Amino acid sequence: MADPTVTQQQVSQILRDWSEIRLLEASVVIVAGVALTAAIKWSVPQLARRLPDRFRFWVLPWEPILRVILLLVLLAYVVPLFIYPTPENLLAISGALAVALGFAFKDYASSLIAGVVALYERPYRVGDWVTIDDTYGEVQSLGLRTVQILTPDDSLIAVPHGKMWSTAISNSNGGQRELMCVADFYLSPEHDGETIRDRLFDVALTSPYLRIDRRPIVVAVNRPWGTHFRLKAYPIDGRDQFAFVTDLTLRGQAMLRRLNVKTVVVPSVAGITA
Amino acid sequence: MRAETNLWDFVPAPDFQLPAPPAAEAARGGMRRLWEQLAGVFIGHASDEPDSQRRKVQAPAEFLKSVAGNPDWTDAAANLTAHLRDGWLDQSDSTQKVLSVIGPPGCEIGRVLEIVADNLQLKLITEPSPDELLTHSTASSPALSFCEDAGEQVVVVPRLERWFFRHAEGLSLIRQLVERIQNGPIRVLLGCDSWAWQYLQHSIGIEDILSSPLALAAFDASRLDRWLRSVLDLSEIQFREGPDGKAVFPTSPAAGSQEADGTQRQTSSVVKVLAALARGNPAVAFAMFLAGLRLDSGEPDTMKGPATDSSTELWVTSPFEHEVAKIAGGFDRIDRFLLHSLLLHRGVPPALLAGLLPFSRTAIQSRIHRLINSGTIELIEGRLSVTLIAYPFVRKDLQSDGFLTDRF
Repeated sequence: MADPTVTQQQVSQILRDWSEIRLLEASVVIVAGVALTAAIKWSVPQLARRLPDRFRFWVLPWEPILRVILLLVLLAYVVPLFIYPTPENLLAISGALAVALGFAFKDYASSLIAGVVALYERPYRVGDWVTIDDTYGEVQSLGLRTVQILTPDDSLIAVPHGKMWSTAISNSNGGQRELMCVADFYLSPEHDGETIRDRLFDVALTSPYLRIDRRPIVVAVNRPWGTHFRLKAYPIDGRDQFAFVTDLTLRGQAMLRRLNVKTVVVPSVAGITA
Repeated sequence: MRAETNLWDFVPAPDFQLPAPPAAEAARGGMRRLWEQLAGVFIGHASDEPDSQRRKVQAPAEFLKSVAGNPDWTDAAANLTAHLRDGWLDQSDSTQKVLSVIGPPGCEIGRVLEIVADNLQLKLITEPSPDELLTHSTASSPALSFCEDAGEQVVVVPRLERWFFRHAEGLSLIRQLVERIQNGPIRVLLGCDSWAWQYLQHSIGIEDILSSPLALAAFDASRLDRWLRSVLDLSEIQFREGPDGKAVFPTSPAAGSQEADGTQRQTSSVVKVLAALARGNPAVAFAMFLAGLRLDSGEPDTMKGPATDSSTELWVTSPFEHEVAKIAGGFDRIDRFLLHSLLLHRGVPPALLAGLLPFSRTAIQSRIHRLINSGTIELIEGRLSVTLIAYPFVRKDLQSDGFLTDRF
């Protein structure tokens, strides 16, 4: 049976005496660290917004990196204020932490480690448009445990980094401004396919949102109910993707009406898949 | 004495070289812009009009008109006429059926080609109406009838930018035009705005089909200095710059940029900055020069009429201190799309703008009013266009944001 006196002595050898702990200094440093973290979280997106758009994807990824660096510096400064930073003490604390993490905070630790790995492997960065499970949106920030994603419906969803161990992550732009957008058209079989292809190409070519050095593509696939046309093109900026798809869809429909081309009405045709 | 280059040289567009800014200004200008952007994030824009400008006021418009009128393109047309006589026009058996000449906003290539057509007695082709542009038809348009009518004759199409709209129905006619020109019997002298040309190259491959165009050689500092000396009345007015009142045109205003002993005339720093900022565009440089003219406060009342006093002094301010230079950093997304549309078409009638942009009429109208009030756009001959003073700043802003720009 462990001797309580020996155990107490061991703990006191790790922790500093209460009189030795510089509590005020630790408090000031922690408060300053929190304030600095908030300042980084506010100023980096502000800077990205003010600079020309082509610099966004250079500036935004630095926000989580700077916060991690700040956290490490903070821990390196504050922890020795409370414990004697000898190799034996650090080993003892690590062992205790490992047991605690292993049992109580397994998932939390997994997400923390996944977050660090995400900084290195970059499956997603701030500003990327990603799909994780059923969630699609723009990465707003990378926290320690979660990635914050803003969906097109203006919902902010926190997805644990740990998802990356077992879930495929689809990244639509990979740190670049542009991403491919697709407008779908479902036409009845009675039409001139080549004319439709050429006219849809012009619809994309004349969109103000189009990144014109990336040529639009028209893909036509026959289905049992008719022909599925997919108009694929890149907008200048990924944030315009919804406006771009709307523009392509509405102008494409207007063009089809002018040509008296019939579109397929979904309820009367079963089993349509995109 | 070294032979001077012709002011109005036309060069192949790939050989167009932008004038370089003075090294100190390039570094200073870049650092200043970076500082202003960073300061704008945390501090916001403050009025930073230099002390030297606070005691100076803008000269009245009537006075400025007497200082110098609008640029005259007759000399440019004369030079192009001579170039054509000695080259392309003389080669009737040449396989190059089309000669294209392009130019940025302000360089009135359309006007130049009209004068050339008059000089050489060539048939001038006018552009179709906007309604005809937006009617997609596979049938032959009456506007294209000239492609078969002229026979061996050369015709002039001065404004190709008026033959299309960036609209789903707006490319049909220009595709037919290019095809007819390429396959038809006539030779065509074509003029086009540089922004429209760049768009047409990406959309229909016009340069690949018709071959590389000519462009007016860039007005570097030396050329700009010579031209300004020739159009300004330097015997009546002294132009000065900076806090120490240094002369902008320091030596005698004789033609050319050389003194009698062959030494190079000194070019002032403000002319060098203008040439670089205007990207070699003489019309833009001239507009910025006039817009930057100031009088000492207390003098405007004496300047209500034409300039007659030989001791009149005008101060030339830096173009970066223009109001529109500060506004350019604050364009929102709709502003940029609107400005880009105006540049691509070299001006759009207000009634047609809503059909070319994916925004509501209300949103477009509110921005038109705001941009007109800020001096960024203006209504000329029924078309909204980007002002020449705002043009360099608008171009830079659009380029930074990833919009397609011209090569000049």
